[in-house]
Amino acid sequence: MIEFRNIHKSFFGNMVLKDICFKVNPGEILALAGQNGAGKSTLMKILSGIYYPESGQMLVDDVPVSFHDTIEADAKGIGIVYQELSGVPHLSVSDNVVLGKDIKTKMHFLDFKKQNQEVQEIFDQLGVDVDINRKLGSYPASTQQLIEIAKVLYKTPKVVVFDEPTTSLTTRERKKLFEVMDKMREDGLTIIFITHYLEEIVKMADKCVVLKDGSVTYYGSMEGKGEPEIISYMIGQNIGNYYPKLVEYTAKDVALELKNFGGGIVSPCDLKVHHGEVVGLAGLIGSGRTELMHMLIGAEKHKYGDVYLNGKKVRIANPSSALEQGIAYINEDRRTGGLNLTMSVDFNIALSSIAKGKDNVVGTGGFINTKKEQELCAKMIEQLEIKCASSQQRALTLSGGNQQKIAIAKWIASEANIYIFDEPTKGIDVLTKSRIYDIIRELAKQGAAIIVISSYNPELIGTCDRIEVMSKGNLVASFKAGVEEHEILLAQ
Amino acid sequence: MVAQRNTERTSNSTKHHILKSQLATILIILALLIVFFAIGSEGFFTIKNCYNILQQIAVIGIITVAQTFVIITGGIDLSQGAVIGLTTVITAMCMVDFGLSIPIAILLGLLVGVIIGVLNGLLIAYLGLPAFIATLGSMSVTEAIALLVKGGKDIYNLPQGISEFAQQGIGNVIPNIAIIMIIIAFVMHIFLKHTCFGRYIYAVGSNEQSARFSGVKTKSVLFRTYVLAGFLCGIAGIIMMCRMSGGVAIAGKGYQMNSISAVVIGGGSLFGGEGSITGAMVGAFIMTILANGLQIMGVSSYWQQLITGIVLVGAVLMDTMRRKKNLN
Repeated sequence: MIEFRNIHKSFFGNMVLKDICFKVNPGEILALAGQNGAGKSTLMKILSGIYYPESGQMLVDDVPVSFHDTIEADAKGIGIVYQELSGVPHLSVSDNVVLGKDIKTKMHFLDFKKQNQEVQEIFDQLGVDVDINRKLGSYPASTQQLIEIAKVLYKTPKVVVFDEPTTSLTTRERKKLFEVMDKMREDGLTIIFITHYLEEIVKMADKCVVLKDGSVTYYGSMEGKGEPEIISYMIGQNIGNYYPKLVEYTAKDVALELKNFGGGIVSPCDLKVHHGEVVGLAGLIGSGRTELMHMLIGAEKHKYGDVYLNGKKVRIANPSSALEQGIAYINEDRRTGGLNLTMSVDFNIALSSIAKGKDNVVGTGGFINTKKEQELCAKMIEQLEIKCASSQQRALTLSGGNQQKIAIAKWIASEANIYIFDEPTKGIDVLTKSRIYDIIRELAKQGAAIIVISSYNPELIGTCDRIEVMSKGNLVASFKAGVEEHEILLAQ
Repeated sequence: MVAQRNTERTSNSTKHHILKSQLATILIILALLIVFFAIGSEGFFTIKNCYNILQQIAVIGIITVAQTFVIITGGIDLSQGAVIGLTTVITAMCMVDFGLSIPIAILLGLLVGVIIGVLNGLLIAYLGLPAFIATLGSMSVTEAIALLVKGGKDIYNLPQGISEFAQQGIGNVIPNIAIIMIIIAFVMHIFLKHTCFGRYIYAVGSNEQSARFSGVKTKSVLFRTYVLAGFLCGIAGIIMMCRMSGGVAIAGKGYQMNSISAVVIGGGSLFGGEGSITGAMVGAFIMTILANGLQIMGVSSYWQQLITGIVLVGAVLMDTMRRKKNLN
């Protein structure tokens, strides 16, 4: 049982947690909701021993505790499944799971037989089919996330905190995760569940705590509470319509056409996007959507077919060519391919415009016009409502939502007319998600041709004029706006 | 839509702040060193010694500028010392053995630097070799060629004026070769800070994948960085030849250790994405003044090495601690 009593925490004079009080009992799932910056991660870091509270008490099974480091929290049975994957890619799955708590023989050598036995048991319980002797790095992010869970379960915790566990998971894997959580609840574990997906809160949680600007705005049962109520506690008022109203902007002319295009795991396929049209690409993780887009922008080599822009065949050999042709690709992973997180906000926003040699930032002789650059960045920050204290801040100090806005700003600044969004709202808070959907429709209104890849079907249904479904490297189905989710799921 | 309130914590310093703090720290260290040596020995704080220091720093200063570019991209250039050596030999050979005019000989000497830079660039940018390995290899090869060309014998009897050029300067205040170094540092500083290419260097160094997706021609940028670095080392080699009045195969051997230290003291990160010419030059001054001061105080060169190592580790430790503090 975990209890927080009057927890306060501040950083450099900024109060980030105010008077937090709530309790989670064994056999309960408590959802912790709130926008980015509300204090959820900070609170969990206090629970796991990374931060110390300024005042207030934390109790485990009615005994006050104070953790000096994560090892002490671990020892008290607190396990956290983080959103960021922290496995060692070169070690096997089995080695990763037992890392830090190896099984030794009487002679103090590693007991691989016993280790593999125990690890296999955990995966059998989870119902996940994984070869525990394979290198962790050979598995995609979604499977690695499930392995993270196994890692935590291996330490037989009493309390498990899930920090945004479903962001990389497909629908099927999500279902499996919830089965596991149900079982853990039955077994009497105490579960805290952080997620941005409100329907998951409604589905799984017994109790809910909503944080807003560091304070608890709701603490109570989930009986009779639905998504609108949670949202209202998160932002203090009603959000109205979450998805934008779908107005038809689709023009007659085709902006982008792929003919017989493919290679690698993607079979030759045809795809057309008109100016002003938003086309969604649905499908399971691994169905080839990202690979297809990578080939389109020249990040990976394609084997068959051609790309046509406004009816003309073009050769896109690398992302630099794609940029020149006005194609924007907003990467699915901000950290590894979307942004230069250690550089400033301005640096990131201006980068593609500079690479394109746009005269809104680049002067003669390859010199950068600093004044124009600052104006451009300031305009983008204002337009997209990017929240930062200073545009010279490093991008990694901003929340996920703001980081994503920076990534989008970079491409809007480069004056692209074809936008490819790959999982645009992964790990982002509710309000920003909604804003990004608005941005997508705005761009369409201005005549851009847009492709949205997402594993979250409601989001595609809410923002796209047309949804193409990809399965195992093939485009298998096409739906117009107004389709129901189960139809998409069947096609996947 | 509802306007979002600003809940961002601004506890983390801006990149601007971080750089400025490191610069302040090392400037203070520099000032302290100067004061220490000025008090500790008679001959240090004189115009003549100042002139000496500027002469001593010329070659290292130029290769430090080159190393700054390379380190910001996340790479490293171990071949710098070897390039200096081979350049002195080839340039001297052209003048003494082939009787070529000074300008032609210099051009050919610079070509040496460019060729090795191209080699490094091909290996690292297009063949994907880690910079450490590639430049370690080119260093060995270059050193060997420098020795093979004249069987390890030094080349002297350079044309009149070369050694004079190396000795002279404006008044008795700034040596010619230091002026060259200062011009190079200044021009490259502007280049790094204000041109597109400079941005690409930081982009590739901070996250090569992201840079690539953003439309930066990352391979080309890396290649050009090493070619530039090689060219600058060529210039350093010519200056070294002037200083030594001859072609010496082993001249400059190991100098890259000094340039790497200087860049790191100046706030550069070996992981890439960070660094500045200003900081690196201050780092170069710290190390040169340290060597000069200790020399004047009569400290043996073995102790000099020890102390230099300690100062390097100390400066980097301070930088690391400051970064950690900023993140918490």
